[in-house]
Amino acid sequence: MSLSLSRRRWLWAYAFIAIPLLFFLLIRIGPTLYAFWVSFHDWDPIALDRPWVGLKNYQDIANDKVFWKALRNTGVYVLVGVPLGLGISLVIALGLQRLIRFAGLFRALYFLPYVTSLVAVGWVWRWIYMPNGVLNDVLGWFGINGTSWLGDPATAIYAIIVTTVWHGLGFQVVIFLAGLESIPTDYMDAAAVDGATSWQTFKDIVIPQLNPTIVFLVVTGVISNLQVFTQVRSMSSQGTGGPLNSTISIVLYVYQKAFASLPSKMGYASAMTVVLFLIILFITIVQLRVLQRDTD
Amino acid sequence: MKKSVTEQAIDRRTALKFGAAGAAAFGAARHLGAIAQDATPETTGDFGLGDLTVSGDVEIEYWQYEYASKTDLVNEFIPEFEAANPGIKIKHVNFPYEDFIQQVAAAVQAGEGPDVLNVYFGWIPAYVQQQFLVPLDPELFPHDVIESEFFPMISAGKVVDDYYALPTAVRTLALFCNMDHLDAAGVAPPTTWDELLAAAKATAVKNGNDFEVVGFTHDMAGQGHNWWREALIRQAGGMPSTEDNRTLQWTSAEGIEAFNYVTSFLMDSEITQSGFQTDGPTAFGSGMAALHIDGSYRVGTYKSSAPDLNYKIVPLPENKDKASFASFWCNTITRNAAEGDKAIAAAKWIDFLASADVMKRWTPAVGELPARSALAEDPSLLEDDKVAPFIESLPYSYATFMVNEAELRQAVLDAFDNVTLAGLDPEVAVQEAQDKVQAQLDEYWSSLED
Repeated sequence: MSLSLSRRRWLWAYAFIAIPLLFFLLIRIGPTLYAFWVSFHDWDPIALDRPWVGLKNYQDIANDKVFWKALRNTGVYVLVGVPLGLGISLVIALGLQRLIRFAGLFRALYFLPYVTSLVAVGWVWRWIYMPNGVLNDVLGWFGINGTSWLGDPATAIYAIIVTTVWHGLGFQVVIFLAGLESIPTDYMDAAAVDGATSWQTFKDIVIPQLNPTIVFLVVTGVISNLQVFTQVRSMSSQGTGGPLNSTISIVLYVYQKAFASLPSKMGYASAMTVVLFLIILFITIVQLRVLQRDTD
Repeated sequence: MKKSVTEQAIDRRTALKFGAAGAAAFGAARHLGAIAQDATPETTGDFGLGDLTVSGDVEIEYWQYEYASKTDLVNEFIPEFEAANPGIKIKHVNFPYEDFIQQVAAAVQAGEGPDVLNVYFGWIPAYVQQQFLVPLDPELFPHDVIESEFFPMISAGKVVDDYYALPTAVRTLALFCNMDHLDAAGVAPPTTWDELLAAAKATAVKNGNDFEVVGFTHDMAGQGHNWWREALIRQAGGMPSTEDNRTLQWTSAEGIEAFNYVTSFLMDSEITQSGFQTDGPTAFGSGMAALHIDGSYRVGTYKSSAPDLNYKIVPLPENKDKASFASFWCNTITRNAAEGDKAIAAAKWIDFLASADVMKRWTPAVGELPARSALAEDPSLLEDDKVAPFIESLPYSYATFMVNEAELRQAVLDAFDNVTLAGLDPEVAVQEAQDKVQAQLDEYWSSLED
């Protein structure tokens, strides 16, 4: 049987796609589905038997105060962290776009934190935040009495959010700059000719034109904040999401139950990841529906 | 070369346990017994297992986390042990400390993993519950010998009627005193509760609202929680739990008295501050804390990180009684080596690692303390005035029986945070922590009885 040229091309294309697809299935989708399976068991990797417990892990989650605390904290990471990050990075991007001299240097400076390891960043910020640290020294010049930022349940989570925002700024600025530069200059010129104020230009041209960029940054920002882990682990007291669980996130709690304590409660931890997965899925779908609109 | 066993009892037991081949090997030259024990080379341990032999070549995997001075020393020991025990090969596997629980779990789930595991004592009860560890054979390691030759803390490695572990070395807590600050304030290293509080007050230096020197480190997440549980409650005349490890007594009058003693430091804004220099060991190491409670391993850290620090170490200040907290890493046999030649090889290897000769070489190289009581009086070990106070504390140092180490610690930390940060009543906070941990203990014991 001979194949037509176009059909042969198709086959080759699929053959090439098949390899990464297989890899993706085995490395990402497989373990994800396996976690669903594990979540229905009392699963301890070392124990000799891992009995099926049905929905018991999910029922336990519903009654676990720490899980709800982690869920609420994760909400704070998202609802405070994402808008704050987007707002600041948009302002910086608008400023950087106007720079003509040393534009590259400034962009590099803002991008630098993003390429630094989050663990190292976390430790440096711990030193900044400690009661006898730089931040309180600076506040002292203005007669303000600082606190132990990471040691106080009222401030610890916001201290971590500030670090997260600072770390992610470079990435968001670069994406915003790309978005800004793709706005056709005709639009701006036309607005200028029509006598639009700069606020009107910003509100009616820049923001709508940036919509795809904003959608992308919101969706990725929300997902990464829902999965916040490293900075909480390296900045909170002894890495356990303290004090008094005021900074614990869902992923950190999952990690503690599965990997950082004995006996390891892998089934319980898997059930929490399934819940988190469903939350992320739901939020992402809603976001794409609400935020995505056509611009004309 | 096949040698005999010294006691018939062992022979009977091994026939049951190691199968016919092993028993035949042991029985081959039983008449040599008594002589063989004297002729035992130094590298075979102190439990008299020198005569147990394997029936063929066997390799066992020994797992221990990465810690340069420990792994280097074990690498030195292995050829000596192998030379003295023909047929036995040790494969030494190391992995990062942070990944300990995951590494072991992943390997076991994949059907592999260690034959002999070096494990933190606080994890033994959980591993026993999972049937991951096998008990030390009482014929080979008689309980009365373990109890008379090792320090009392070793009971933390006992579950119901069985011992599961032998340590090479242990650690205790003592008080670190920065002599520059103590001298400046004109106080001597404190020896009682009252003196400690007074010394902490006298040595703290403030500039306005800011500390330049804290009198005492605020370090509950470091060693503070252990200090309260095992040292202070006992020093107040109480017991953190009943002898059988089944019922906590944190809410006893002594427990609350000890708890309030700790918070009297933490809540006094003239003594210390939470998070100062990020944590206690860093604050003391940078010379910005006068008094600090820590383990013996910290001496080695400061030797390299703060060589000019002028400090002295004294045993923990006492009250009605003396007491300190002990912790240790110890060697256990897993179910992978439950039977046959592997069981013999594993027993000999942990016997060797818990021998007095190994301990004598371990303390100077690693900085941990010997686990055998006879060595506590060894003059060569007491020469170092930074190590001596820790050794002195050994006879009255206690390790906690814990079924979930991470969650026990968290419960205690939350109790202190609830009082110092959230203003909760101490009795309510301690009760809450005790209820949480007691529930886990109850669940644990009932699971073992099933």
